[in-house]
Amino acid sequence: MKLLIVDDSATMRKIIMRGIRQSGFKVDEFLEAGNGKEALEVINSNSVDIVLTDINMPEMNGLELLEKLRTSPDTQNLPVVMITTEGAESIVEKAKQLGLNGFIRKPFTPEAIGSTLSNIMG
Amino acid sequence: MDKKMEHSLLKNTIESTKSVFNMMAGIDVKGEDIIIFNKDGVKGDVTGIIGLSNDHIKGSMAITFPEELGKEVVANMLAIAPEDISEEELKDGLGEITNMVAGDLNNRIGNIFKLSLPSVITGKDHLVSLTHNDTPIVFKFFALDKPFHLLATFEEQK
Repeated sequence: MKLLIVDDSATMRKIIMRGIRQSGFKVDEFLEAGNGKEALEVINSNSVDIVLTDINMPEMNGLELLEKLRTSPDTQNLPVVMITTEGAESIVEKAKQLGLNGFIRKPFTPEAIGSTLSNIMG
Repeated sequence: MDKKMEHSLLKNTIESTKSVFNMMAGIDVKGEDIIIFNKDGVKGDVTGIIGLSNDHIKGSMAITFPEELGKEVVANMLAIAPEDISEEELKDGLGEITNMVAGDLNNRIGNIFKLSLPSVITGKDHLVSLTHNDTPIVFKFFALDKPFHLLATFEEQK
């Protein structure tokens, strides 16, 4: 299982990794990206199994990343989970319409991450 | 701003602060009953600042920490020793704390605000004050028996 964490804060990426490890959800390799653009590059050169992304990021935000992934035949079914402080209904609704697989609100517990990932990945 | 809204902002700011520290760093925040109306500001070493605004209300929130406590909080979030926390991790981690407190507050009150990206200021004993017309509300909290301050103003736009 290769899991890509997309967040413009390197510290938050480490905190998310720690949360996933604590939750017991098994990940073989963590990959990281600082924004949507970097995430696309990582996805193009790795066989990523699931993406965990923030929404508000410079260069390319999480919604734009999701939109790009859903319009490419290679990534249209790649599971994407948003992990964010953003809670505006309009943004969450747009993400759902684009085919978002899961949503985790910051602050989060390891259990919230673990159960969301397990539900999606089985 | 009506009293009901003001009360909701005060109450939920306290709840959000406690919740973020507890969930992300496993730290119990105390001292929520200490609320000061302070125009002169407070001093800190590391400060996260974020804007919360909509068409009617212009708000700002700042959370300022002494460096030692800031490092302990970020160390708890990363599960490493405080002495191993870099300057970058300290700024990044406390910026995220500020972002999550503001975001959690916004969620609790129905996502009425648009949040700015947080910024972080560092410098020993710098003065933190929020330059709006209204006097900022200053919460004095305690984490790991050390004080830190949260300042907030919510001002109606004319």
